[in-house]
Amino acid sequence: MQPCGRLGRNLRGSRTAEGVPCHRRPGSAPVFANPQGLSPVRGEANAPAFVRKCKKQCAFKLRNVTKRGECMETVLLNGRDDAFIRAVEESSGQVVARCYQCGNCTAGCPMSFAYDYSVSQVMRLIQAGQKDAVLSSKAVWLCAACNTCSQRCPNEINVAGVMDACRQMARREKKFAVRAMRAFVDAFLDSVKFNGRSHEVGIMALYMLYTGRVWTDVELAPKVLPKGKMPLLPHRIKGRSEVAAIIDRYKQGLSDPERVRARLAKDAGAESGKGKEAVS
Amino acid sequence: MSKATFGYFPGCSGLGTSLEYERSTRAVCRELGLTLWDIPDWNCCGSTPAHTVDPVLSSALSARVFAQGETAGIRDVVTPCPSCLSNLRNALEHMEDELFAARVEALTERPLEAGHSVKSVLQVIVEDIGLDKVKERVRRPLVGLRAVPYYGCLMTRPEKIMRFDDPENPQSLDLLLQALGAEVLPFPLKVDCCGGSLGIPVRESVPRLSGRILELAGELGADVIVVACPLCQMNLDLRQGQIRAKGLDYTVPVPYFTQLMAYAFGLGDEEAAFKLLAEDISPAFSCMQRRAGEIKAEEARVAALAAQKAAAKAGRTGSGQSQAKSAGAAGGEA
Repeated sequence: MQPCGRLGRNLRGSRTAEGVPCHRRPGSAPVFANPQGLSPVRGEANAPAFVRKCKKQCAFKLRNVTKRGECMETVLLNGRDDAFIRAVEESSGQVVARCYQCGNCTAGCPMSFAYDYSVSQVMRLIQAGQKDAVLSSKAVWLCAACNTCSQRCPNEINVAGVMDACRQMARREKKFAVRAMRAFVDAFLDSVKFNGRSHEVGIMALYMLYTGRVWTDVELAPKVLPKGKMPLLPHRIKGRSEVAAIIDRYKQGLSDPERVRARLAKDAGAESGKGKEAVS
Repeated sequence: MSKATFGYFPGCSGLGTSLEYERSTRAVCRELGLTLWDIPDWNCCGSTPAHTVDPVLSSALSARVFAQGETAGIRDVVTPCPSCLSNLRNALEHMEDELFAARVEALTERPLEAGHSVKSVLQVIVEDIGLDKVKERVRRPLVGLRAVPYYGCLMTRPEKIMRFDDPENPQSLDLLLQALGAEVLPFPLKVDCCGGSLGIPVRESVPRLSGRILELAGELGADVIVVACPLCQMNLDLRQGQIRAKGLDYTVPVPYFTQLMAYAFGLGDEEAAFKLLAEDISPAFSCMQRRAGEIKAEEARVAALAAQKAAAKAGRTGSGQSQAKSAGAAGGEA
């Protein structure tokens, strides 16, 4: 195979050293190359010849239609965000590089039908450092946290933990691919903040307010209300201000690891200082 | 604190949608000699939404529950709800990390002592009390009831944190139901997801996932699906009408295991609280009684046959023939 002479990253995503060309058929257009630099390319202008626009109406502009007529999104593997990979690994405590794409997680995932990327695809995207694709995917929001994937992973990766970490990151970056999911979480936590406990009727009311889906599950009301299974008034606890304070402190960022680490270091310093004084 | 005394964390749904679980759990524990001390002024554990936002927030809410327990001298907590259990257990596991514990404390501002534990009511009944003791208490055995057990996702997973039963094919609920006298059918979907709280934001999920569970239970000919999780119960029972509207052909009542225990222990309707279920359970019980009658008749027939044979044998040996000869005669007859 002759080198094509293009510099940058090769198909596997690893950087080719300066002046060392990647290997490609001579004369062919550089397939996934981005002439401008290393950022991911998603435009048709840079698409290789076999990538055609999907005939079906789908969310992705650029798709690779296979011979069988299935469409696949083309993900360009240049522009790996290493900081993103590190952040996911730190937050979840997992080594994503251990995933070898066996697909067991996807096979067992109950929510796969609703995902845009399957679980194993999300794992691959994380390995490739595709921050934008991962954080704006529906999959990270729709994960039911049932832990089937973590249980069945042959490399003992806590896949559900990785999904959770990505969802937390998406929330911090204000990327809400599934708005209803965010509304539900907000409604739930607001109810806990007001009452100290979750209150189903209150959660539903807040959820309807946040989403505008006014008739969500109202047909269930006649089945539960007469039996006293859905009290209209919340059970408020005495320490609800304490619970609200926990949530407020969280929102103020008092539990940020950097902040807490700095405080711990300061405390340790003060203590050792005291110890020295006592000795002297 | 003796082994039979636990701090009790009912969980928010115990005051609302899982009232029947709450009532029957308390009654069954009383019957088994378990003393439950309510944790004073407990708060919500944050359920799935809290750990969706941040595990530190989730653990801080759980840490307040443990701190409240400490004020009443409670160290060992039981909870009927697997979602609460998962959050409380995860909090304890994560807080073994020093930095994580410090982050939690920055939110709660209440330092927590060591030595807390949390278990599910099912685990305490199966492991601490034991099925022999449960068997002793049964006054109305559930003979003839065809049950499938449904554990849900969180009771046994993740394996390293829950440390209870088999993560893919748990047996505790199966054995418990057998101890109550029921016929337990093997159920391949016993740990599959019911859709959880996604039923509200993603309407399609519950008819699809819970629908699969209900359909298989119906096809296996189960009278009841026995559950241990308030959220699973709500999806399978309360939303069954919604699922039927989407093409499910079966009606399967979905009681909690504690309700069946209360019934088997001979407790009253108030404790078993079957009336609070959305799907009526009485057809299941009439099936059970009919089948129990058939089983009894079959047993009587077999017993009568055995008695007849024994009588015939006794008659032959009684007529003065030697034992060897009678055996030979019996062989000849055959």
